[in-house]
Amino acid sequence: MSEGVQASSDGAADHKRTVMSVLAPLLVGLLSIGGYFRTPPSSPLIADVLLFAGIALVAFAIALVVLRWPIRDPRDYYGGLALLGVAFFMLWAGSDLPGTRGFAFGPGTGPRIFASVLAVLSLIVMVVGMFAQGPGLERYAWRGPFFITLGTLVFAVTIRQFGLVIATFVSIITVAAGSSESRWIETLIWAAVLTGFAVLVFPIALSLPLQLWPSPNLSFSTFLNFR
Amino acid sequence: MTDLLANLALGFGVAFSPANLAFCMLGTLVGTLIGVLPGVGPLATIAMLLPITFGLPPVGALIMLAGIYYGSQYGGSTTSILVNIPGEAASVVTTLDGHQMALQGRAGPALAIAAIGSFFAGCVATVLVAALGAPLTSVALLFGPAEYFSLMVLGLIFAVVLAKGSVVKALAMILLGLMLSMIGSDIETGQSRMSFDIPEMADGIGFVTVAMGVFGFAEIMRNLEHTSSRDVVKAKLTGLMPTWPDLKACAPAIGRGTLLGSILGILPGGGAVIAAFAAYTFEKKVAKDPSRFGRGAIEGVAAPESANNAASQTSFIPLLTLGIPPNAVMALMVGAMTIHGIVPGPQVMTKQPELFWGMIASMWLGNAMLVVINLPLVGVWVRLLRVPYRLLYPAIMMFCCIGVYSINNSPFDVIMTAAFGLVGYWLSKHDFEPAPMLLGFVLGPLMEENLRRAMLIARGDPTTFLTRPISASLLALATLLLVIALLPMIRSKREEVFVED
Repeated sequence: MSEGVQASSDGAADHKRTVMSVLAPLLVGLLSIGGYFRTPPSSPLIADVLLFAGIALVAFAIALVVLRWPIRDPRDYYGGLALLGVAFFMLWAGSDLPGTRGFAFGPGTGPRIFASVLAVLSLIVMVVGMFAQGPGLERYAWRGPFFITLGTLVFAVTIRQFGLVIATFVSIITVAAGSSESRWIETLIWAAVLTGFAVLVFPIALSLPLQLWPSPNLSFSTFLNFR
Repeated sequence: MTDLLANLALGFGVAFSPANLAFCMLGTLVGTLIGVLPGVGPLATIAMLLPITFGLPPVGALIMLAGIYYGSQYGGSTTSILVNIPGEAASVVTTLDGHQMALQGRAGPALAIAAIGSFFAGCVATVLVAALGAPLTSVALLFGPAEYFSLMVLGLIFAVVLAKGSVVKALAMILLGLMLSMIGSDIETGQSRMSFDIPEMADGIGFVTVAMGVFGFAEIMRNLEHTSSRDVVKAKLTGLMPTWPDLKACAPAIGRGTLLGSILGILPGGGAVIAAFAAYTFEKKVAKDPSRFGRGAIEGVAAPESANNAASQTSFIPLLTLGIPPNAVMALMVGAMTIHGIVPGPQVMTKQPELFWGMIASMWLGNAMLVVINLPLVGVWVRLLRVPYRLLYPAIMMFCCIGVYSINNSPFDVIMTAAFGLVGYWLSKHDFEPAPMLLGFVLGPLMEENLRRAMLIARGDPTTFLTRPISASLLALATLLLVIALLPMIRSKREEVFVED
């Protein structure tokens, strides 16, 4: 659990960290200002909120530079900032929906309420992260997440056109590449065994409608249209 | 009382039909099989096994799912005792004394007492569910939209207060879940919301997609960061049955654990995890010699195991009577019920009594089966635990992918699961708990609907939540809880801030 990399005393790393902590709010702020220009005219309030919040974030980023403010708990700081971005994004994404008419909620009212509360809460998380000392960011491993995601995507793209056997086999091998402990021959055998098991369980025993082999009218264009 | 007996008789009639018996048995067996795998908790297990219940009739499917739930929980305890890796949060406490017992060569009695304690707790909790089901259902009839909304707020606050870690972050996670649940068609107007004209998003994001992503995939990504070094207890399992002094020492512990677990299970947001922790702490407090705990005290296994089983069973009460899932696993059960066309709530009991009581009866049966099935199969589980993780996780991934795909036969769902896997990984790196998010995600549509209705009935007057007595007291309780939880946190954070400068 405690594999987290503590904030190093190394000057270069510290510098990189400070730059990140300024760039991140700047990016969210600029995106938010961008959202102002892409908001439909039917909801001027959301547009104003996005513009105001965007300007405030840009100003905040500048203030960070001027004050040379160190981020004490980067986990909370970036976590809150990202959620703030999500809240703004959702606000923007729902801006085409009609809001409250009279005392009847519109489709847009719920999302607006929830997004606003989320924005406030994530702002609190972010601000607390600037002041209270925290354990420092944990290191991200790239190999596991990358191959797990890739293997899943491979499965999603191939299952329709190539059938269960090929999709399962290829995705298991891709996923297995995510562990540094995998051995190739073992993985190949294991993938074959698992594929056989999957074929026995899902289409045969549970009679789920899964196609086993590549469809006969397979072509490149149908492959692209995998949905 | 006679009603209760008649109802239970009906339930057992349903549960004892050969087909349902088989579903229950299969559920507990498969649930344990998956639950034993390290790092796979009940939530991931149910999500993974959901597709295998699709073809069944609703009663059979729910019986099987309940069986999977108990099985996976028991499987988690097995892993904690034998490998010292808790399969899920609820069995973290079991590792403390359970694994110590295993190291001393007493893995057999530890496993047996876990099963016996769970069984006893299961029996008590089943009766409790049956007894409380009817009265609570009549309470539900008093509830209007305003009360439902306030009740859900209370439930979410409970979940936040009882969760570990920062209250504000847990609240933020709930809101994120609520936000995500808004994606898709609006229930009342049918307008497509925030779906960016992607046809697959028009129906919203699937619950299993989110659950499998943030719990299943993210967990695997995290596990892969550490090189696997598991020390499965090598000693041969001899003497499975606990001795007479063991049983005598455990009996009161099991009783206390059951009581504590039953109460905590009913509370929204509670559930098995807190029950287990509370029972262990309580046992340590009342023990004559607290220093034995952590060194293989059998009460330290018996109490939390009974508590978590009692809690996992009584957490069905709010779901079946009020239609409100008190924790993430129950939220998943809501998803499963909706797939089978059942809307959880008070009407289930009156309209589909055989489903309601059959499920309750099968809870007891499932617990009985756990004892019967698992004790002889311990050897098999041990062997399964020796399979290295590099072989296990591709298998888990395969089941997840096929499972998600088969729900809607939609590759898009699989892609979304991958995305939520990354989201879950990121969340865990920033100390955000995914469980409140999932709860918010499930309650979102319900909350919005009731909020809308309440406001409409009150002609747009938001004070309706405060002027209706039941609603007002629920909200007052929620506020009180939140304040109690926030005060110490604010104080400690303030200290942290001032220490630095």
